[in-house]
Amino acid sequence: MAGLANSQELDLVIGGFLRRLPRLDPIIREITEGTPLLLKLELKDPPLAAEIDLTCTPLVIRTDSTAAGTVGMAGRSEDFQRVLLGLLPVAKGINEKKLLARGSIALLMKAVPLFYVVPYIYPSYLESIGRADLIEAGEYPPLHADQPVEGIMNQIISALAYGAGYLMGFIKKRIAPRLDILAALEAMGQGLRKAGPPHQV
Amino acid sequence: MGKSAESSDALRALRAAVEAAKPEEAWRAGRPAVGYFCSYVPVELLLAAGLSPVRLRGLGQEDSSSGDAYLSHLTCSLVRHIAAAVLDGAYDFLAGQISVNTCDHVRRGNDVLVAKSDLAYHGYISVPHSLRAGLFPWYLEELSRLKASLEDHFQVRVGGEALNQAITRMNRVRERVQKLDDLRKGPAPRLAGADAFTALVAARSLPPERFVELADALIAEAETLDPIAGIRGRVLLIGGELDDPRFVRTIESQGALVVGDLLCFGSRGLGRVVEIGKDPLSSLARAYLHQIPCARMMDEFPQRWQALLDLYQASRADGIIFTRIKFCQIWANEVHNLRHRFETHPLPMLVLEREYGTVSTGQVKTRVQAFLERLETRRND
Amino acid sequence: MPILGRERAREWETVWATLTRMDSLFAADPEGRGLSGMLSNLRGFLLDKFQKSDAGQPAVWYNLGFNPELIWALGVVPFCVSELAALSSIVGDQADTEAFIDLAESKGYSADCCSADKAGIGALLRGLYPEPACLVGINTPCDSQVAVVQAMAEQRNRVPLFVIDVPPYDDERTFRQVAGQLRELIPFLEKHTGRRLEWDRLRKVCETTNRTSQYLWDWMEWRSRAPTMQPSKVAAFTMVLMIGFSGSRWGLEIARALAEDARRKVETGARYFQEKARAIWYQDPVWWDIQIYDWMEAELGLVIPMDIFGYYASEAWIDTSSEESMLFGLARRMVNCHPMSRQFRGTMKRYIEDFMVLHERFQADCGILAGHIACKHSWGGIGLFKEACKKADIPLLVFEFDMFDPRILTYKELQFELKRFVEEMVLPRKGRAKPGAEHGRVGE
Repeated sequence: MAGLANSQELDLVIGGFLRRLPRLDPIIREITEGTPLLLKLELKDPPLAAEIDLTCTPLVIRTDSTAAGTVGMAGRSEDFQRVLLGLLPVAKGINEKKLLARGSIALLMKAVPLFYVVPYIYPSYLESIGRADLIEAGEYPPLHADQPVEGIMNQIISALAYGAGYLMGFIKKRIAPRLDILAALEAMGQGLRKAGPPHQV
Repeated sequence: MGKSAESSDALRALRAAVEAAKPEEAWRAGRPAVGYFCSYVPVELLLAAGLSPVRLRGLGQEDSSSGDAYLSHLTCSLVRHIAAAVLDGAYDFLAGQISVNTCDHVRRGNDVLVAKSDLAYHGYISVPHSLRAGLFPWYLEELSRLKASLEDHFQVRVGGEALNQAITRMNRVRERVQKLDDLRKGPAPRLAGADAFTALVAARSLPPERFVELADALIAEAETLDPIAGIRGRVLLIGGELDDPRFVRTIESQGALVVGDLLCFGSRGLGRVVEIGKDPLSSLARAYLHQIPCARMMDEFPQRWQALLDLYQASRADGIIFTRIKFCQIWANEVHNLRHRFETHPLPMLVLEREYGTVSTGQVKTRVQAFLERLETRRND
Repeated sequence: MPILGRERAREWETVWATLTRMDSLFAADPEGRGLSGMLSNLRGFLLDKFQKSDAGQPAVWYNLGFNPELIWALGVVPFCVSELAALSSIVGDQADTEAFIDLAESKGYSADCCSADKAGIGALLRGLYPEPACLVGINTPCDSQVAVVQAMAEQRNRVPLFVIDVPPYDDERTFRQVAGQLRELIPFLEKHTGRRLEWDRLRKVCETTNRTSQYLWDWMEWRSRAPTMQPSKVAAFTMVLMIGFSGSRWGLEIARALAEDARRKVETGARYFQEKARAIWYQDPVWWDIQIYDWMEAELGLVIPMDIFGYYASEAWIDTSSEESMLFGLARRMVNCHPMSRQFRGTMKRYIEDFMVLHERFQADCGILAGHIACKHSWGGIGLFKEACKKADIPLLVFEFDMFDPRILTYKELQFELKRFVEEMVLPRKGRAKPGAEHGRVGE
């Protein structure tokens, strides 16, 4: 994979992205329904072992631990980069043995939605660290089968969120290319936390 | 010090029969000896065929390695010891063996004997796991097939009269078993539980007449003995396979007195006389199928529970010691079910898991001591 | 996540939510169609159960060796004691299964018994199954069933129990004996459920079973081809099908999904790893984390074309022409086709013969005896089994583990056993025997 030929770079790029996740703690906790799991990511070629520890608040990212994790996902770094970009959906990765999952299915399924969301922010992150070269062009397959959004309030909020996302995208593309999407999401997370009790561990 | 059973010649002879490296008495009877695995095999059928029935046991073998090699360390140690005893030649006087689908362990023990032993005859019966009336004809048919197989192999004919004679012979044994039971149960027992149990185990190896002779002598002597003193607690011994009087002796060494049992080698399988009638095979089938049920009988826990309550009351017991051999699954959950019943009908119970062939004396003593203290506290409260 | 708009016990909701998420995840990938088909029918099956239970329809409990056709035909709700534990491990939270096991053991249920039953009893003790009208207990496939049925019957101040006794033989007399007991079972079920059996309805259920059988045979046929294209992790599902779904439309659809997925994968021919060795997995699957089969394929090139739990024998066809023929067919199927019951309840001869047949038919290079510690019938025959494999020159891995409890043998320990066996025993031997004989190539 161009540009990620060694562990140092991998740690800088993917590790750096993961280390930003605590900023999104309230959002991630919503996505994972406050499940106190420890997701172990084991990348190889080049290697990187990382943990997303949701057993504490705010969540902690570790890249220096040998713990097995509650659940795990292993694969080649190149494939994992494609997962983060949304080019390799988790299901496809598992079916094609590019991603090897481990642990309680229920907990894994709580963690997997992270990978539905990450592809919407990872490219912005790569741009922000000057590694837009890593963003591959390609067809973006659906990450999961759509489930009908139930309830009028869910539908209204989903529509509003879509509008906000569209607006951010428009501004970033047309007006302010350096717009920090992660900061915007972080602010959204803070709002979530302020408005109601977040999932606590 | 009062007179005890220790000086009894009859007891010594019964002990010798239990501890014999080979059940020579049966062997010397001059008839082919056939081993059998389970209390659901009617020994009367073997007697009527002119055979010497010998209940298969580990015969004091300390080493079960030749059985372990086939059966693994996760199998019941009784079955492993039996397999080892057969494979190592301790049962070289047997003309054959009869197995039952008692449990997975016995089934596999049978597989090993069929495949690896020199025994010339292998009989097998499938005993239903329920006493429902609809299943009786199957058991009867299985006995009938076993009879035919014995007749064919040993070139004998087992007629109704021979069967009734065998039933009569075994009924005498059963009557003595009942008497020994009564001796244990009384308000001031004169016979230690271990001694009574020795006699019951011997009943599975000795020719009926020899057992009757020794049992009568023991019973007569017991009436002249002094009541056993220093009893801290009267207990019932229940559970799976136990053929080792040393285990009972260890329990009693702490002041317990075993006043009754519901064990396979104890009085459970021999406690009731068999009806003599026109259709002796049916009589046998009925009696054997309807003995106090083994835990393999899937719908009979209530009957076992009732038998336990009856015996508990009749023997004035203070508590229960449940024992089973490690890995025995069919007896394993008796504990769960008993505890379930104890929630509404509490009875004190000690559970002791064992390995066949050894008695963890220190461990058993400690646990029994603690249990007896519990019984004493309960009584004083 | 509520089910049918109602709050349920957390363990059932976990299974439901996980199934829903898995279905959503895998349905998006064409390669996941088979799995998705299984998952969506599993959801339908659960919904139907909850719907019927909510409507107050009687429930009938049973244990592992029984097939529920008669219960379906009566239109009542079948609940296998191990159902929730199995679902929790396979499509739920394994921690729930372990909690069930711990609860049962804390109430005196023996650790020596099968974890499928321990977990089942734990779930019963937690009150996670509806009140039963009655219980059908069968002594197959093993002693653990003899034990669990008695513990089930002791629940709720004694549940009315009907015992099916299966003799350890494989002949017509045995089938007739079991068929006779099924005949006796009918009035028992009618009495306790208040339903009357309609024979036409049973006929339809049996026809569904027959169609299911055909799909399972087709499925086996597709899986027998080398290289095997469908993942190893579904090789054991016949067993799940027979216990939980036999005779139901969900069972039929799951079998159809399995068979069509296997066919499609063979026809498209897409390969994602190099198949280096093929093993017959004998005894119990790793239910506590079936994803380990993906690891075996990707990292070791080890494929399980067939598992003893997946093997579906040819005597399963039910003649629906008369009441007697249906009962006979159901009995024969339960005795001789139900995985485990077929091999475990009789002599080692059948057990060994089936292994040899599978080894040959599925072109295996080796055998893996995953020795579930509670399977005494298997451990009791291990010496004869090893001898047979040695005689047939089949490399064999034997290890102790527990199919529902990773605390006996951990994931890492299991990986170590498998890796050592494949890399140090099977592959070098295979290389010597037939150079370059491995099946398939990446991307083929």
